Amino acid sequence: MKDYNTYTAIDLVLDERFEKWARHPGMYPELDQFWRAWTMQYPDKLEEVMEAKRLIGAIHGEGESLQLRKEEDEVWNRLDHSLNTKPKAKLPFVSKKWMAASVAVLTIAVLSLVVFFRESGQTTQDDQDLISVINNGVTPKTVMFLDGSSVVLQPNSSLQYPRVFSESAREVTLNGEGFFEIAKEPTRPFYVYADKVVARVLGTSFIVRAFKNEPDILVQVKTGKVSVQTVKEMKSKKAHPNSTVVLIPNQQVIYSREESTLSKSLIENPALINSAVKRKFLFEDAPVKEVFESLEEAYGVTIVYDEEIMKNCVLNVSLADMPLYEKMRLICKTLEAKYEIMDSQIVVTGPGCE
Amino acid sequence: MFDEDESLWLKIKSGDRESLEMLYRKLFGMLYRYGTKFTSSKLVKDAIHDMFLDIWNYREKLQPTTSVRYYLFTTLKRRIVLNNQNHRRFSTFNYKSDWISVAADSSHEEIIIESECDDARTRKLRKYMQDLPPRQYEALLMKFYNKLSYREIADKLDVNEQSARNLVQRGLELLRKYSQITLLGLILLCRTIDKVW
Repeated sequence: MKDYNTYTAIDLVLDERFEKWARHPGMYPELDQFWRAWTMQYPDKLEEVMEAKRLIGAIHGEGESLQLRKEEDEVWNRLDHSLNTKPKAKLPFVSKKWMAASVAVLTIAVLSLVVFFRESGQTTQDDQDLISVINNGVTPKTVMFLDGSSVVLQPNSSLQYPRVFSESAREVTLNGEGFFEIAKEPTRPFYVYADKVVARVLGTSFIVRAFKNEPDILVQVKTGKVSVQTVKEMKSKKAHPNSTVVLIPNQQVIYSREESTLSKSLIENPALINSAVKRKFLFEDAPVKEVFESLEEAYGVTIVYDEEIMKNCVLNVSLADMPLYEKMRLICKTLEAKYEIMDSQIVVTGPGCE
Repeated sequence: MFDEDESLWLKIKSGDRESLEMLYRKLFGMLYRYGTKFTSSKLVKDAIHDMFLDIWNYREKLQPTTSVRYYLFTTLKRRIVLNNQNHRRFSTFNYKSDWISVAADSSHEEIIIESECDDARTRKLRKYMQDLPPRQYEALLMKFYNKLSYREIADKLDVNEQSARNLVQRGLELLRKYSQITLLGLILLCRTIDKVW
């Protein structure tokens, strides 16, 4: 239990429940209730509450205004371009469309060239038939194995694996971060060696993050079961019975390089588990059902809503690069709906659409 | 304060492009925030782009107006609706229909009041934010605006997680110290305006 008697504005700002409530007043009834009761219980903290709200407001305002300035410049540059290139033509809309189309084609052409060159990374082959894939690019790169498994390799990461896996085990070595989706083969476990730790799986999907320059090594599980132990323990043969950590979905293990220990915990935020698979989350005239389904799939949450009432709702939104709750907020704003989070479910209520 | 909009409007009508940019830069934030109440950021930006382009291309036909903001808000709203309907088709609407005067929109007043109260309340604190050491400033934005975890902040700033926590903590403390010095007056003002619960 926290000692609220000594709580300052800064403690409040750093309290996630407070921050959430301050940012979205009225959106979470249980938080409304909690903080209303809180301020009654600690009336002398009113000034701290006000100050905390102002601090959050100012930081957010600053972030928003930076973002706004970025948007402002972006649109102005586009506008400036349109003003300069487009004469006062008789057929403004046609020429504008064509202009946009040709700019788009050109941009895509240039971008794909850039992507092609940047992404192509390096693939080399060792004498022992070991293949090394290095992702020097800026975007994730997918590597497929002959057994049907795959890994999405993040930038600045590399992977080593045999062209053909052995009869008894599938073994790969990872540097950096990868999202693994492993084909089920009960007789041939899949091992990921990531610096100091090794993850052993039968068939599942999970993330391994092991950058040399980071203090911790991380394994997060999306589906199935993964067992993790340190390489040292594995090689010592007389492994300690408690040296293996078994992870189930939404659990993670963190290996601290400093302490050489493994510690298991829940994944804090329902982070984009397969963020590795770059989703665009761009919806044009998309039925609400489709949008929710894609969020459910991406985040492993359940969205509960009245399909009948919302069956006519379509969305035109771009939800890229924002956390799940931000996405929900934007969707609900568009639908004039409200959402609440209950355990792993998100309940959406709204008036529906004409 | 609004007078200035109207004089910019007249200058645009007479062909002054700098005034167009001034008006644009002055009102972009408000228009954008207003537009994103209805639709996605991308569509709002498209609509704002198209709207200002039309203002310029058809500047001779601009009518003098008593409230440029009011015009722009309502035009933007219409345009968002139109762009939605004409999605993927060549736009064939008559630009003139945009400029038909419309009945007073009660929400328009609210928007202006809301955004200006907001500005007054946060401007000072925000200014202090800009006085923070750069890394504290960045850490605070990443934590509370971008909603990054300490781990991610540490990654981006190339420090360990504890240092990231310290940057956030110290940033908050310093910001609070700055604000306590001069915010007293503002606190009293905002208390009356702000609905805390």
